[in-house]
Amino acid sequence: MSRRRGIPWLAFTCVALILFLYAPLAVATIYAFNSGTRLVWPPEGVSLRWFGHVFGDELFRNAFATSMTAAVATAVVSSSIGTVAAIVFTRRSTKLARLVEALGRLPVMLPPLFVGIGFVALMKATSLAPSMLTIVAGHTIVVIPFVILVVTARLRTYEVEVEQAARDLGATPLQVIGRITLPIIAPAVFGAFLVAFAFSFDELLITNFTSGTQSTVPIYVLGRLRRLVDPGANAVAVILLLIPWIAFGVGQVVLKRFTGSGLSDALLQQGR
Amino acid sequence: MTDMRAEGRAAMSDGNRRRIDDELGTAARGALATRGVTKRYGSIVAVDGVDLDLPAGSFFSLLGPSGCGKTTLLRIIAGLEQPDGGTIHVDGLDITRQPPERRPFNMVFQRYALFPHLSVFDNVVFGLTTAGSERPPKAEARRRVGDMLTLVGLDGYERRWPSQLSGGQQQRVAVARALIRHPRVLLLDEPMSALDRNVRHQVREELLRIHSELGTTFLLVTHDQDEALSISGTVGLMNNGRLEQVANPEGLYRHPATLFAARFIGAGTFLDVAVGARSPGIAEVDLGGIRFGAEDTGLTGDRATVLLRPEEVKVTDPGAGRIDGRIVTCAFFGSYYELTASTACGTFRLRDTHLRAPGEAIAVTWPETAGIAYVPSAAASAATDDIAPLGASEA
Amino acid sequence: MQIHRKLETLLLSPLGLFLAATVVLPAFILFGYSLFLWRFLEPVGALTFENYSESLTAPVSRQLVINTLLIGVPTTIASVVGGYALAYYSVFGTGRGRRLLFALIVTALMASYLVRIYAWRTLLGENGIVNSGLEALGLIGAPLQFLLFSRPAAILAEVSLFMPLAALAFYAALAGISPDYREASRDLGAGRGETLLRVTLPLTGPAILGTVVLTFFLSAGDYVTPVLVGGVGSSTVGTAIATKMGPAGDYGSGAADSFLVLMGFVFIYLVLRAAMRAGRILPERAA
Repeated sequence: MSRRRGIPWLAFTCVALILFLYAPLAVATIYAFNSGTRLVWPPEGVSLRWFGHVFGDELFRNAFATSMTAAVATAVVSSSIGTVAAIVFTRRSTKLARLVEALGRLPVMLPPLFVGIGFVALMKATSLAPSMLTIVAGHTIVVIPFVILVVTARLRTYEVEVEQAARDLGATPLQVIGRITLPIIAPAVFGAFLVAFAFSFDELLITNFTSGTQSTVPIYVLGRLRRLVDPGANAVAVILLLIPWIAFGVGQVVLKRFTGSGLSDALLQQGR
Repeated sequence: MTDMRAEGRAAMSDGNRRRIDDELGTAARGALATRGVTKRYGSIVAVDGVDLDLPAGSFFSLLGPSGCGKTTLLRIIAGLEQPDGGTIHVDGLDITRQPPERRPFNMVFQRYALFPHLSVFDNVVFGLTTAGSERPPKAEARRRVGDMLTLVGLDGYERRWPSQLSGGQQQRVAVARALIRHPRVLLLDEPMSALDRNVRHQVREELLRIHSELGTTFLLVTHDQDEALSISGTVGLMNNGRLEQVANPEGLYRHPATLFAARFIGAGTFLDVAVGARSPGIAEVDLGGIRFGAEDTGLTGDRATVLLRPEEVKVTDPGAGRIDGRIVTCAFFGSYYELTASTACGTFRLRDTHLRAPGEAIAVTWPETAGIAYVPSAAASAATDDIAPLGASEA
Repeated sequence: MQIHRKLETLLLSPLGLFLAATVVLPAFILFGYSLFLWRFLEPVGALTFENYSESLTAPVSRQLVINTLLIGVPTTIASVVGGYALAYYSVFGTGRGRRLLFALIVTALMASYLVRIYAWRTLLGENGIVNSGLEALGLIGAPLQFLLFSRPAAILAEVSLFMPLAALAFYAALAGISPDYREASRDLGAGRGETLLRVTLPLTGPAILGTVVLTFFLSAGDYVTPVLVGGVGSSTVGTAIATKMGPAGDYGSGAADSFLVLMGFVFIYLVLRAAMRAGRILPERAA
């Protein structure tokens, strides 16, 4: 309807809802820079002491390193196997392709708890000890659907005819993938890489089961949060908030700039 | 009339949702008039001060190229867009400010917009069950749906679903759905555009039949001149938001009022001529030395563009006509061949019953008084060779 | 481009095998584990369904299920309604705020899961903003204890988690509806509200069903929120399963519980679908 007479009460409700969603985050961020130790309002002053305090903790530094390593590894693994599979999904619709695609989109519909306990069972049955391998494997499962989402969205929006033209000019299917398809979708793959990184860094529900004695940043934070009064926790929380946000932000910018549509558009296509 | 108007306004202002119909009663219904309707999108004027007059019960087509504003005008009349200026009256009542659900019009959408989650029956009965409608009891509603489906030739289709129907059938359901509310004006948005060629002829017949049976005013919008000229009683030609000419189909073809109309309707040859003496209605024109008389549409200055319809121009042997030339193309159209011939004074579009070979030398001739002369436009020579011949203008 | 069978299988195998090993296989293993009693992290005894019968009959289970419902149902309702409102405005509202709103929804979704839950502590705690504010306004004498570590706190936190997700799902569904349908509905006499009820809602029916069930499912499986901001009354089936499969080492019971929960949600889905069809919110046929 072109005559968009504003629906004022709906607009008001939406503003309220947005405030509801962001208020906690804003407050936690404010307190991360609080110079005092108590959670009183208004905050006592501005300081970066809590960030220094946190980075001074060896446990945190280890957790940070673990998280970074796991996130990069997850991003590499998931974006590579996810992209390759996505290429097949958008070109073939055999039973096998559709089965694997359904499987690939499945983890979004499962509570991470269930994926986690599945891992526990797997590790028990195969006597596999928790390690970086299991952490990365767990992260990859939850991240794959998003990689598939972003990459298939990009694959569906460019002309398939260019690939057929390449075949017509003598290229084998493998050459077509390597010299035509991949270069064209490279920005989308990079965007998916960053999305995978972000989700992996923040992952908690599965990592609890797959990390054993190692800590990732979310696990570290959870440990600190169990103590009731811990102003340092705010600082870590902010770090935990920022790193994935930055990764998402860069991913979104890259996607929009090079492919004309961002993560949000890919998410929209999913619904059709 | 004044009493009815006042009554109508009173009914609307008390928030009563009864249809305007009831207030106006059953006097001659379906006369639609727009005055000065204007619509702007940013700096673009989509509809520019359009005055339209549709008598009750008429079949009117709005014809024009893409972007001329015809669809926008239709949507403004339906209430789906608000005009920036102007008024719309139906049977004397001003409905410019009314929302779509309270106007006594109904629309058949270009892609039908049948509700996919409802059966054919539920789609057609929808208009009787909305808050602003009469809401007849179930048995009567069922009967009326049955009558409508029979009217459009889909007897017994109540239980089907839109996804099970062909394009033509979906359109009929859309028509039935719109007509069940007895609108004063039925609005049709490019009804033929989504249909196969062979189905269009059928649909044309159906629409004409329904129109004569019901006597409802029909307002149809299309870019296809075949559609407009073959089905309507009156055609309004639009260009760049303005209504250029309103006439019956024959009048539009034989006497296009402007150069745009001449180019848009039918096929023809356009010649660049010098203007000589002028008498009432006729101007003497000079085509590189060849003189003849052409209808004067209000010439100013000393040059003009003359339209010669293919029926006015004949092929003869070289030397036996007004101007010699060579055949460039020859295309077969069943009952005739369509030819283009190049001459020293321009390219001619003609018809002949014989096959001609490209390169063949011929001569072209036309009567002493022939064609229509227009004031030349800036883009005069641009589109001369791009005009499709009548009969080949498929969407 | 033609991909031959062999190449297709080759390209699909990394993902396919990976998922088969990490998602499909564990499901079978879990089921196998659920058929034994476990002690000290080892299965003992013979095949038995005792884990299932125990979970179904124990009074503890009933309390857990009630808690799960007491948290899950309000969470789902609030998330779905709020999400639909946000999505509706993003798609159909007046031009200006729409894109910003959508960007805010997506950004909220990308915010850290843990921080989104934990941050409620700073709002609801004894020295938190809400209490300090109420005290400053003179409305209360001492800080309210029940704000934090209670079911309402868990509900608030989970709603802030799931509402953006619901909003996104509904945005996709609403944006995918051709404007023709709503215009046709208006043309046929329905006002804005009636059009929403009879046309827009049913056309987004499948999305609503899926989102409701998924949100409830995710809420049931969220075992961190109750720990962080919930209180005594917020142990859910999720926290129970997490404990059993974690520190407690009772894999048999944990596995059995998870299958029972899964079946429970399939049941919920079917019941909800039938109810929505009866209420004409879900069309009989896919739109």
